[in-house]
Amino acid sequence: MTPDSAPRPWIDILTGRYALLALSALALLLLIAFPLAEMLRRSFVDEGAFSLAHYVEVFTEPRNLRPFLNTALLGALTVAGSLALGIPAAWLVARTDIPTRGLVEAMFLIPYLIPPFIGAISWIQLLSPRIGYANKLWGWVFGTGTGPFDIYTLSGLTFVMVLHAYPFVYLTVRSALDRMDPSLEEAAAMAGAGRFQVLRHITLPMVLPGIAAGALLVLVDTIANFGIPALIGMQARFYVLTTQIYSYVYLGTFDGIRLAAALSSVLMFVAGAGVLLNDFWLRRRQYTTMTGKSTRPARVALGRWRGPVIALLALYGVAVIVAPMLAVLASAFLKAWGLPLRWENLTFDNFNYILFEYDLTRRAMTNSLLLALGAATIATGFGAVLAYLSSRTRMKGRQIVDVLVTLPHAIPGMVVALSMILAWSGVYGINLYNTIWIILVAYIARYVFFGFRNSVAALAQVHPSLEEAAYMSGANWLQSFRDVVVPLIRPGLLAGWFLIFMPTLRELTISILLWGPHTPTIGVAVFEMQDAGYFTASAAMATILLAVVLVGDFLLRRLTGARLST
Amino acid sequence: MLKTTALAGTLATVLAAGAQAGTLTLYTSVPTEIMNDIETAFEAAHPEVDLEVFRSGTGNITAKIATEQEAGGVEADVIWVADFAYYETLKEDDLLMRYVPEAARAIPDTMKDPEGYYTGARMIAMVMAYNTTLVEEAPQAWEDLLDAKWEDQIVMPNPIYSGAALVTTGALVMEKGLSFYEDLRANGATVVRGNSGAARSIGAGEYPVGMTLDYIVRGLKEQGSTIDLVYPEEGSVAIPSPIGIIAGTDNEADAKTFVDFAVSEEGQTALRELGSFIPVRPEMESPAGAPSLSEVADTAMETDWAFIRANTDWLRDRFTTIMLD
Amino acid sequence: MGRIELQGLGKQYGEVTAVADVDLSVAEGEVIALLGPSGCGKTTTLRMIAGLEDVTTGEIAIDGELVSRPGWRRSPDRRGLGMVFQNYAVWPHMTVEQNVGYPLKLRHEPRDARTARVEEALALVGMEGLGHRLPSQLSGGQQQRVALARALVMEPRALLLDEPLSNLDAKLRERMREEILDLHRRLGLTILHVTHDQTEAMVLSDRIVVMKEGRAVQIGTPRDIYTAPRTSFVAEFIGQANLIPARISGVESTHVVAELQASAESRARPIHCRPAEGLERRTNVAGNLFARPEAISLTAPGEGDLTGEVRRLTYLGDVQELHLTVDGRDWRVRLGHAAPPPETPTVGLVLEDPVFMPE
Repeated sequence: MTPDSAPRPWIDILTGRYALLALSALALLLLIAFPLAEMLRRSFVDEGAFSLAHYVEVFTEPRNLRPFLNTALLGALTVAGSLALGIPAAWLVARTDIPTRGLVEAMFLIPYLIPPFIGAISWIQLLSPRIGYANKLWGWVFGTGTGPFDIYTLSGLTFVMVLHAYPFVYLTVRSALDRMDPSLEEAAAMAGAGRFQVLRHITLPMVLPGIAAGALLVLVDTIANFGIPALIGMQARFYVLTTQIYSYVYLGTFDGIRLAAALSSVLMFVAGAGVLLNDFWLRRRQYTTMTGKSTRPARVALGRWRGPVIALLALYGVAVIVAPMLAVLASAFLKAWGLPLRWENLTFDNFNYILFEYDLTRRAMTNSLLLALGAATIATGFGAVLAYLSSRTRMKGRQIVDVLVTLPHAIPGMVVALSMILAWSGVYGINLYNTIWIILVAYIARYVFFGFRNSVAALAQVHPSLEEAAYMSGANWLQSFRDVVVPLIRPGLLAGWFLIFMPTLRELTISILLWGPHTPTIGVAVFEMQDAGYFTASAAMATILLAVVLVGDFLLRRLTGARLST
Repeated sequence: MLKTTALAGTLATVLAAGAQAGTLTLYTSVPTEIMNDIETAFEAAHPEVDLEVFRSGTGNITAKIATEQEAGGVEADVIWVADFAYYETLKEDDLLMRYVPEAARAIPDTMKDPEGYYTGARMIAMVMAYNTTLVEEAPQAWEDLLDAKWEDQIVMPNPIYSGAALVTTGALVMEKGLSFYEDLRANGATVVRGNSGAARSIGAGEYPVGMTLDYIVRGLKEQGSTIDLVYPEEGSVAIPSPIGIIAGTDNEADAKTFVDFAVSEEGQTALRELGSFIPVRPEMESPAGAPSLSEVADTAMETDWAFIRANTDWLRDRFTTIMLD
Repeated sequence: MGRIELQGLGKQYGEVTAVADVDLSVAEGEVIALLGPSGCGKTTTLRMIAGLEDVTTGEIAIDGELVSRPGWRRSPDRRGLGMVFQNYAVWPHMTVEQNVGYPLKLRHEPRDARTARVEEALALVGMEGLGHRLPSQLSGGQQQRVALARALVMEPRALLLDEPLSNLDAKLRERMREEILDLHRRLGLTILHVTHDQTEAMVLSDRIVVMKEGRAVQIGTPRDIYTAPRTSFVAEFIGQANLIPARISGVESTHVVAELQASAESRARPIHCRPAEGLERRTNVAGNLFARPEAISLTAPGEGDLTGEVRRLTYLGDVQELHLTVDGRDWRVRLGHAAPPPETPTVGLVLEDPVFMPE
């Protein structure tokens, strides 16, 4: 009797790892490398020949130079503000005896969950000149008729940006504080340092890498941000790189596209460099303070400061978390923007309109749902295959896979979108422009990183010997993958799926450049309505989206038991 | 789960593709709510036609058409935007199909193409608007907007996005020169994207005064908004927003049906009732409180369409530099 | 069935040589132990036989068929070899029955036949009735039996075991050894196993392959390896070895005469020793003199072949061990459980069967 499994060479070749690697490499090249390279190439082409003309124009024309300076300025201001808010918040939660710590942290982290353009909309409702709710409240309280707030200013813009971005600093600093070796501070105390001295001389310097990492994340996020600078900054005549790229693309001229390509290329390098810096240098340095011990630093007793701190937190919660959400909710029910909040002015009409009547929103909801389903599934699957190839085989070029997968995630969404336009608008035979496919392709390129990273982590739990045992039992590669690997990484795959589904559902920066008459997304619909001045309709859509996002994130956390991390 | 998604995705695409084949695609800058109502009216009158509307600012639409041209084919069947001059460009590029609807004979010559490639379908005018609660003495002339008393309180549309705003820029620059805009900027005028947005802002009280289109103000006023308009002393900027059929459309019959509807008495009535537009047919009545077609045409500022057409990019660029940079 | 041939087998990882020039012929039904310290290449060799690694040089043949050579190998799922991994690799998401039945499922065995054979395999390893359990509900020893049953159920040509007992405690290890031997008796399977434990190698093998730094240093029966190690490394690795540097001063027909490179403290008398196999028999060749602790008897100081300085006597119950220093080296001599401790600080040592071997 022969124990051989039936030899089937043709399946061996097809399902062989080599074939898979070749296919995956091709897919990656087409999906990511080619569009970005094409964008880079186009930026260097003028009148069919190699030229630096666009870059010259980018760096010399005031209209182009100013967005650079503005972006840098906004970045610096946002970082400063985020540090000012994030560090004390992290310290409060990690090092003091503040009650209901979990609740306080949840409160600090809520802005992290809200899509930035929704945040912008809600703050616009509150701080619009003359008629924002805050202004009206001020006028009512102080009897002046209206208040001094005007969101369409640099300070208004910075304010909203900081509130959106400070959670990055909060998370990295809190993590660093948690992992710090308490004996370092205790030694200082034994040496005679008072509480503030310990803080200044020991704690802060040790936490510096965490602070730097958080600051870098804020900076990268700021320069890649589109929604907030578009909805608030443009009206304040404050243009940044992303809004300038948007303007050039919407101009529709070829020169415009090439200028956009040049701007995008620069943006890509700057943002990409920032992310890579964080990933490879700072993240490593953060671990140096980690100890294996499980003792945690002693908590500072707030004592008589307890009351005031809690009051401050409550005020913060109301003013920064609750108020904007209420503002959006209120506007969603108003018959018309600007009407006083009285019963007779409230209606369900806005919701009715966007859900049942308005073509744009109805198409958008269908599109976004389909895109999210498709992108999540494909990106998770592709990411899993790539993760397998990257971590299980010793095939050459694994580093390249890592870089290619990380790149579209690291660079701003607009850059990814622009590269898709340039690659797939028919110049090379394939024209996806104006179809839903170009958005799908862009989403997959952008989010395959999540699928990849999650699968790598899940695969790490599956010891190679489990697969080898399958081989020895007679399974070929595909059978082993199907019967052993997939069932064991399924929870990780599922988590990864949701991690992609949620963001793509509400995504804006990619679809804003790629949408066509038939293919708006939810993000685009909200943005368009807001930009066009249909504040009540956009508020209604934003409310629905906010509800979906918050519920979805809550469910996701429950499902995976995951803690938020950067 | 993968299979279900793949199936759903394929089905959706097939449906979408199929939907596109038999539908009539309209690119228009007519504001959304109004267009929704008009669409309903049209589909009630012609249930056999499946109308799909892409609605955006004229600027976006011209950009889209340019890109689609490059990429291999304009998707739109019918185009209806506010920049009269743009249609000349389209005609020169052989992008329009010649079609003269029966009813078009009634339309004045200045409001249509003598060769029959496009025809005005609604008369719109850029005027000044103000919030009736906040403003006691409304500005009466364009020049009044330069008055210090309106500092930081003016809102206006963006000609990059709005065709009507582009025409207005051309007319005002011709009449008053670029300095008018420089002074406006000095007076702190805010630029928003479109006319609807500007009008709503004024109605809400966010900005007490500004520039916007007459029919939008009338519509809001009818809904009870605290807004009213003024036809400026120097004259409004009157635009007979034309409608045209794209050459090579695969839906010629439906396209013609729509154009016929738009300029027919039925259609013009719908436009007046649903959108507060002044009809382009002189024999028809204007909306309540609005001047007649000839009144508007006669008192309007002079618009040199050729000038605007030849200098579209320059106008946009100047506006951007003066008002936006 | 179950003949395995390794010819000139070698494996390179870039600059690093993991295995070099290994020749081995495994007969049908033989039990072979691959023994050596960690990093000696024994696991790599096993994995190459399994087909899990490719081969840099040399060839592997199973039952006369070539299965591996440089540039090609038959994939592991088509070699018909059963393998038990060091961490058992029992699939956590499948029950015991599903684990053991998997090889049969791949071969499209009908369910009834499958169930019967799974029961048989489980009975073989003493796990009958536990088919419905999940691995998380099993102890380490039980998981190992499941892994074993899974390897056996497919009636493999040969069984490969990668350090199967190293994760078990001492008592369990002993028991498992017995059980594997028992299985071998019953099934007559060729077994190759990897271990770093010399007792395991001695108990569980017909022949031992001693490996060091990628090479097979000596292949032989346990007796041969124990009594006739070829190098000092082998001598020290198996059992206890007493070594002292020496040089050949004379060559005879069956013996060599060795002289210690010693100081004046120990005797410089020439000693007749057995040459290790493969030793270069010339005068002035340097090497080590080797004697087993149980092959040394005590005599008066100054007499015998060597002099040793007594350090201590350890009582081990069944034997006693005398620890000595011989010219600066630690030597041990085994004495009977009732032997009296030496009365003098130094003693003379009579070497009953000394061997001269290369370093």
